[in-house]
Amino acid sequence: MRRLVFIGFVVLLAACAGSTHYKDEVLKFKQPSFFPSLPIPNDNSVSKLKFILGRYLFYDKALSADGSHSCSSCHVLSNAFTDGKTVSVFAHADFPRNAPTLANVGWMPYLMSEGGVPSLELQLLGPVHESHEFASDMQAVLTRLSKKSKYQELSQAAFGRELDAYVFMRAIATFERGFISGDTKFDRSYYYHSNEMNAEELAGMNLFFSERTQCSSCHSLPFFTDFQFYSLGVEDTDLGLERRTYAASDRGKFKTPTLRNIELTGPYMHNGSLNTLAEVVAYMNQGGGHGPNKDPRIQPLYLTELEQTQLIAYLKCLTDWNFVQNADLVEPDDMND
Amino acid sequence: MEAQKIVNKFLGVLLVAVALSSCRSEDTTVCENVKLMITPTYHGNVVSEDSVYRNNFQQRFRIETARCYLSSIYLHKTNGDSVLLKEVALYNFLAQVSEGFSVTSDTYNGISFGVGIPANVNKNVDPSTYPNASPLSVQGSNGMFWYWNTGYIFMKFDGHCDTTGVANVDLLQSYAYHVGDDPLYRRVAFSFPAQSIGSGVSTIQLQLALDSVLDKQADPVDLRVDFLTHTTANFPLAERIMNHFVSGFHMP
Repeated sequence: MRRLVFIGFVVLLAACAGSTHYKDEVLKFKQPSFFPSLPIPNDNSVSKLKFILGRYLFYDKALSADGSHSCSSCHVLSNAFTDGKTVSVFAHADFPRNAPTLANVGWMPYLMSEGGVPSLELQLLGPVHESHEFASDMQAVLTRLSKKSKYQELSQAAFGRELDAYVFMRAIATFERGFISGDTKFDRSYYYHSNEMNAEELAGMNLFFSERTQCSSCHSLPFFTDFQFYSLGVEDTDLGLERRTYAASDRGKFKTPTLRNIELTGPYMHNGSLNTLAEVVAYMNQGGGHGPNKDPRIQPLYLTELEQTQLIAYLKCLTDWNFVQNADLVEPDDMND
Repeated sequence: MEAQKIVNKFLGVLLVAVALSSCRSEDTTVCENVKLMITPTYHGNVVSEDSVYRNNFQQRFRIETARCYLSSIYLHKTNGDSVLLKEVALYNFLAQVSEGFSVTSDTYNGISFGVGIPANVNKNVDPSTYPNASPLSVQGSNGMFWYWNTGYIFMKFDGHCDTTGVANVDLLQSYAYHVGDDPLYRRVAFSFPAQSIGSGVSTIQLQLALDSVLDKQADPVDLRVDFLTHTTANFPLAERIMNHFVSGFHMP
């Protein structure tokens, strides 16, 4: 009987060891009043522990097969979650693309340049499996991550289940929904009448919203994107939207990128072929490129040098300096504990 | 002392309950009484991962991946009724060529299945919502999901080859056919002499002639030209390979 008692205590101790000191609670992101409500999937409500777990996972290099890189390798906070490279080091050989910003990614109705992925949760499967990114498979990733007891504890506390693909996808998606950027000089001037913008920047803003340039017809408020697909005539072999639709009329079309934090997210275009904002404005001023299916609105603008300078000055008002220094979004100090 | 007895009793009950609960899960296991075995062959011989094959163009190649989803797998009764064996099964022809199913005892004379995933299951799906053991889950699909798009890869056939024609050089070039989209879903049906299935364990034997993929006499694939498709970037090749692959199923 004593032996039975001993075994019983071992069972109880093991059960206690599995319990957690984490306590979860609802988390409400602070968002600008001029943004629509952040869409939250029914099966992934936002909580504090999901956010914490997602933050660890986003910065964990154990995601990659060789332990060399994490999500943050291509999505760097100080670059508004881009990497400053023409195309990512881990870009696909067939479709070498510039790393997109993740600012306000929670509002995107679909992900990827051709819009094939309908949710943030699903998008996370891509980098894990792609041979040129994490070059792993989900089971291998989970095996590596499961060695860290805090992940299992957080997973149980936040989701009530072991760390698996379901948890992995929803935790990182929750963290990424917190990438909210809407506190710029433009926002404060336009929405709250702060009078921060100078004459040059205001002139640029007027050009941006004018019939003459039609910039804002695609880069529309409040996210500076209409989430639609267009070709600017960029010449390369990337199929763009055609990859998803098979329609030759969609070749070269890509989702309109946001212009928020544009100052920090260069190089530009889906293939990073333009290095500076001045090059981008000059490119649009000449009427784009000669690639297929160019949108008819892309025409020469005949902007003077002064007007181009004003436009660039305005674009620099779209930088959210608080966002790129947000302490809640940086790599956790205890990442390797 | 009395308290000690109560604790002992409680722990005894706890351990018995743990033991009983593990028994119960075994009791609920469904008895599989029919197997669908699909043997991969190359010109009549069973395919081996180590073998090097040669196509009509005298190009040498090794098959390193040969997987596909079978779905809506039905057994057909002689009276015209059909019984669903399984919604979805993932066959890895280089590792596991047999799947077990449970069926009521009756007289059957046919089997049919889809190669790929039906459209109503294939799109707008979150694989993480399936149980992890399901072949449609993130972990169970084992890389058979399009991650830049939604939907499943119906069939994967890839490996390494040499197209230089030089004998005995290493197979350094890769080839890969990753095929999957709604228009590429195919159905296959076979009839066989009426037989009683279900009273004991029965095995339905099929073969998959993998030589039909690259070495189909009427339409051989030149690995120098047609060595890669991920479906969307080269849909005609994906369709061609899928049709070749499906034509390889036969009843010996």
